[in-house]
Amino acid sequence: MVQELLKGLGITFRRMFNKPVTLKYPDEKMPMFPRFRGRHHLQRYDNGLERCVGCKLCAAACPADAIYIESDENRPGHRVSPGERYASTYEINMLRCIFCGYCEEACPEDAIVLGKDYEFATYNREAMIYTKEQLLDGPEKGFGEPYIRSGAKPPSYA
Amino acid sequence: MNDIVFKGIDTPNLRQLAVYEANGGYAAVRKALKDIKPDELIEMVKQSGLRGRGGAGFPTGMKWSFVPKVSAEPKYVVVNADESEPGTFKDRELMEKNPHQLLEGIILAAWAIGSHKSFIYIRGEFAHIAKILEAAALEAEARGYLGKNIFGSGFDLDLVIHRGAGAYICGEETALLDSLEGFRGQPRLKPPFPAVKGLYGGPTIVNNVETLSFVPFIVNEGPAAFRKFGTEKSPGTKIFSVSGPVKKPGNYELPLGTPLRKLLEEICGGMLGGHELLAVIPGGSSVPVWNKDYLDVPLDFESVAAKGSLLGSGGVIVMSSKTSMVAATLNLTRFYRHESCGKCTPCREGTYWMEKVLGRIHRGLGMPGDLELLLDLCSTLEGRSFCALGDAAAMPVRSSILMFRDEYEARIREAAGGKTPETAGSR
Amino acid sequence: MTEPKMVTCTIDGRTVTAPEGTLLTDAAKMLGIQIPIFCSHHRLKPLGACRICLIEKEKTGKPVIACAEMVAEGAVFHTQSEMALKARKGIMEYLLVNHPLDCPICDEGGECDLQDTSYEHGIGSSRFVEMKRSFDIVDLGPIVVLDRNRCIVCARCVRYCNDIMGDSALTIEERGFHSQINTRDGGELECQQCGNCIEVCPVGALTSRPYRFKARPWDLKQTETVCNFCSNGCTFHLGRREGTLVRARAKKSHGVNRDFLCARGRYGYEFPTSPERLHFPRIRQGGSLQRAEWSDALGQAVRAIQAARSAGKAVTALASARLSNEDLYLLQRLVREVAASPHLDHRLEQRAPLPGPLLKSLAAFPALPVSAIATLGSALVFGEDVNEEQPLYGTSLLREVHYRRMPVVVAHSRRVRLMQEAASGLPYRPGSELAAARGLLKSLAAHQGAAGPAEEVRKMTAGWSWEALASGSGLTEAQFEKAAATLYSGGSRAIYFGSQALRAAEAPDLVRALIDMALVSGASLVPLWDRSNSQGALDMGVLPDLLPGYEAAPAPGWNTAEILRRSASGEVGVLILAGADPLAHFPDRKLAENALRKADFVLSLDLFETDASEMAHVSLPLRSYAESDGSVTNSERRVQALRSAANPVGESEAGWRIFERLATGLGSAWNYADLLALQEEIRARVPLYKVLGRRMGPAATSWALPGASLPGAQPVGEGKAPAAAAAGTLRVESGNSIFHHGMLSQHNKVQLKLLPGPTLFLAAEDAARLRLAEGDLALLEGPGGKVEARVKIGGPSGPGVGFYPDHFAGAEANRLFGPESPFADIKISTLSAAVHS
Repeated sequence: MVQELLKGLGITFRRMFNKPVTLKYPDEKMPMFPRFRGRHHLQRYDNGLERCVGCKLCAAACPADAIYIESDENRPGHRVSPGERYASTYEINMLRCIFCGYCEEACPEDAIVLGKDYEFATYNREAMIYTKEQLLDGPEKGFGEPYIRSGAKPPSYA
Repeated sequence: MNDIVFKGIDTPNLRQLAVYEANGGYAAVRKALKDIKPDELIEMVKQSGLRGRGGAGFPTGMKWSFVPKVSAEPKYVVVNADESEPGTFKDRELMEKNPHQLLEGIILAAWAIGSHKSFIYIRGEFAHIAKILEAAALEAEARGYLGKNIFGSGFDLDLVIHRGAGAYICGEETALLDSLEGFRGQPRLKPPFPAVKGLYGGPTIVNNVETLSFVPFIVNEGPAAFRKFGTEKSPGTKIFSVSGPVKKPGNYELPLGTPLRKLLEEICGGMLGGHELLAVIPGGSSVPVWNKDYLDVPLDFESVAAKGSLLGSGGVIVMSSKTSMVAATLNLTRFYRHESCGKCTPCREGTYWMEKVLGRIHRGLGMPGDLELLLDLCSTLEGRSFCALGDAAAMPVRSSILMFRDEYEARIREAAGGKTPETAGSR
Repeated sequence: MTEPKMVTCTIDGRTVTAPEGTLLTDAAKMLGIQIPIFCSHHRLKPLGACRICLIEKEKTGKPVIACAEMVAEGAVFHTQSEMALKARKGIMEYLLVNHPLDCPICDEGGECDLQDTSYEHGIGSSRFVEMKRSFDIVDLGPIVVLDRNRCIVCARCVRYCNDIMGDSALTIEERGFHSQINTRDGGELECQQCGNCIEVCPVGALTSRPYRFKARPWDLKQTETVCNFCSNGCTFHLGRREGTLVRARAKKSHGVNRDFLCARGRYGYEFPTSPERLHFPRIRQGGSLQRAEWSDALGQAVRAIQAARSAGKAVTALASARLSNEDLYLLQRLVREVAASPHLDHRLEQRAPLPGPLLKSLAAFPALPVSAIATLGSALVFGEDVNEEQPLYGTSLLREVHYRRMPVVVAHSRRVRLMQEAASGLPYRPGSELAAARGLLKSLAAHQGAAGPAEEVRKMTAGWSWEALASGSGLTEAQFEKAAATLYSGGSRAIYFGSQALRAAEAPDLVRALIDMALVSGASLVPLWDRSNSQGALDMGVLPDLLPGYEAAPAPGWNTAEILRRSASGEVGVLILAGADPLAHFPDRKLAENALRKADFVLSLDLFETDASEMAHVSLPLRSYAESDGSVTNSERRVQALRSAANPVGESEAGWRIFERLATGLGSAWNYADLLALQEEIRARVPLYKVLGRRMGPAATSWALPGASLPGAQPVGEGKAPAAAAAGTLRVESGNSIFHHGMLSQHNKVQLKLLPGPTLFLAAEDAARLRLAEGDLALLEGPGGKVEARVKIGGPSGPGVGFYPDHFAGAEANRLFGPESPFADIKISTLSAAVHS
């Protein structure tokens, strides 16, 4: 029995001189793996128009039924996306979302991409329903880099 | 040469009724309305072996016999004078110079099927010929050859001369009928064929100008006299409209079965100086093109078809070595794209697509695989379209690629390393 | 009719036997083989333009089109051979040459024929690398959006509009590759706005403006139910997204209508989920209605009924003919059995309701399905603007007139659409329906042999003088003769009659004349009732003199007019208004107001606040058809299922549940576990309704009155000729417009776009005479009072006869027309002229 005890303590002593594997979160953050799927981002084109056309294919693909969209028509004087149609409401329920990335796969416009954020903690459930304003990347994120992973260059729309 | 319909065609003032009558005109009508029963007349035309001269070569007597004897709806005779086939200009000369011969043919056809109303649907661009026909019809009516109680036989026949509005498709008989009724000129679904249900729902025969112009001769001289010309299956004569760099282009009436070489070398006097024969289209633009290996083919319906082309309307288009086959084919395809009525998918989209592909080859922007694409497009168009216009658009392209593939390939090779297809499309 | 010759042919190695002339697409369908189609449509003649249905026919050498090819004895077809597949693949590639790949934003995406066929036959990528053509997207009015980029020029819309609807509003422009759809003049659509062009479009070229981008097909919860407006009983799918109904769509090849819907059916889906709906029971307190609990509201009603009974006062009920059979059945049981009163009716608009025996005679005629019109020899349409009021019948008749010149006689006071194309028209003077019917009957009887009812009728009509009939109706003997000859020129015949005949002051005599006509000519007789379940209300015995199943009531009660008269004189204890609003619909508005004021207790069940519900003592929220299960019976006596498509609004309750709770409150031992239990009881008690609850719907057969034989010849009384219109006035009639139906459709925004408010339709020459222009606001003064209305030229008006559709609260026709006749001479003055730019 002593033998086993020493064997176990031996491992403990050996590890004593290794660097710790834990991080002092939230002061320190772990780098995410390249294929990590975190919070969704809605993308824009260079000229500021939204990529999303409100086609609801992401909602159809979503196995958790986490996405809710209402679409409307672009009108002269109120242009939101390049085509005829845009999403007037875009909501993702992060409590339901399983971060499978199917929405990203389904999107014909590369409008929705899953980013690296994972900090969702909040004090109420309502706040877990992310609205379009929260999901849409604003100008401060910089346009023209919508493809987080694909590396392809998006077509430019006048 | 010029034995039947073109006989005495250059007689001065032949378009005047008096001159026409002096040359034996309207004898056939007098004879028929007095002595020949409608059934006998149809039988005579059948025996003569007369075949439609508009392009399809359908036996005329057979067509007439399809018309029901008794019909609740009125029967109609419609003359297809919408001569729009590129390379064909025979009906034009017939109507210009000898309109009464056509009128006589119409009266005989109407007598044969028991129709009291006839129409000439004349190509819109033939405005001056419509005037000639109108003048001739008025003259004939004044003499009692048209209208009520012709020659006191109790037989009535009205004639309406209707000008088309310039659509190639209206040369297709059912599209012609739609256009005549005031609708968009688009072919109708067959069956029912016009002989059963045509204009305004009544039994209708639609015949070409040249076809009907033969009928007075058959009545006057008998079917046997007609059969003296031509071959067993393609009896009689046919007008060939020769165009291109030959010494004497023009309309020539020749017995069917005359070899192409004789037509081009003897009658037309061979090629113009500096030109060398490259290709011949034997029957108007809608048929497959030949290269110079086919000069000895006799020009009758069977022999031409046996050699992979069609006699069509007899418009012989000669092309010399100075012609680019790619450009010529593109030109034809552009014509069919413009003239497609848009009813059926393959013709509407296929002609457009083929023009685009030929266009990029012609502009030196062709890509490897374009010829296979074109041949594939042809096979999707040919036999799949609503009417023959689709076939007509596909056949010249296919034959031209098969006969002159080297030229196409050379064009595409020149283009290698050229621009991208996207820029080729946007002019 | 002669039996069609049967021929046998082989498709994909399986033999099929079909009547000669069957199209190959249909024959293949019999075998369960699907051949893709775009331009072909079951209601239209074959066109053969799109070529997607190419299949191989042995010994032909080239593919043939299945949509126009007919079955032939011994012919062998292959739909999946190499030749057929290659041909279709080629056509598919051609179709996609110019079709944009915008399925994600296309409203058709997910239920698109081109998309489906592309999955099956497409090659995945196109070899066409050039630019596609492009057009701007245009609105063709308030309903239709046209995106020419997606159009495949199948011309279905053009042909449907022209051949079936008779509107010719769409056309193909340009030719060849430039072919495109446009309206006649390039502007907005001038048509009935039926939206069938959208329905028949196999791609997303024509889409619906109201539904635009509202939902994708897969996030709609679709429920098959029956339209609640007219009595055609069209089947449709109500699509719900997140609690709101967003569209109605006919189910392809299903229902009596197959894929047809009219403007009001297609866009009448909004009112069930309208925010204006009544949500709670209300009790009158201190002069106004206040929200209350169900138990209190029902308790008050129960006490009122008990009080009326102990005071010896009558308990009466007026029902809407839009309620389901189950609602109506329990209402009549409540009134008859629990309240022991025979006074109930559902006919509010009819001045002279048909007596019970006459209704039973009508029921004795065998039912005739709408689909029978396709094989009918000839038809008479009497006193009904079928295309406005009963659109399914209207378009079915119009189709046959167009496609096979079916001889049709149309008798109406206005030159209605069908009359304009019919072989024979009888445009009688307004109010002279009976004289016109008598004239036609006289001509019809004169044509027939000596046997049977014809002889009796001839004897009766012999004494009628042509002069009197002609001067009475404004028609000539020759016109009657021509109409009779037209009706006799077809083999099998049918006589249709509708609202104008039923609302006439002499309706019973008129219906007797129509019965005689049917007997004399051997025609089927089809009444086209007003409301979706008028037939059911008759069958369920919501009548003063008939019990369910057309049994004569032992002691006949009061009809609508009588109930209201008695109520006005203080004899009525309780007046139950089950979805009925006599103020809006009863011809004598003043009497109705008096009746509601004088009744001891008024119980109103309704969907919305109406004039009547606001006068009630207790108002209960009723569920609409879209929230209820049940059944309704259409004009062809087909019992069809209603299925709830939306969640109930507020605390609203189904009619039959309310009646059940009233009955139990009154001490009855009713206890229906569910709707099926109630249907079980109806089946047992009403033998007509054996089909109920089992095989309801389009597949069910129409019921027939058991043991009924055709009635004998009916004596027809003489009517009085209407006076000529007074000078300076216009004779105006009322009825349903194609855009609305009754009073419910005013809660539908789309329908309000099509006909926004009170409108007077009149002919151009009348407008000129009265100095009125399109869009003017006019003051109409009639015997009943004054209303304001917009002037519209044309529409369902006729020369000398205006038309005032009755759909808007505050401007009901009974505020304008007098109680005596269904038409009135109206004085019209311009209030403000339309601003013309």
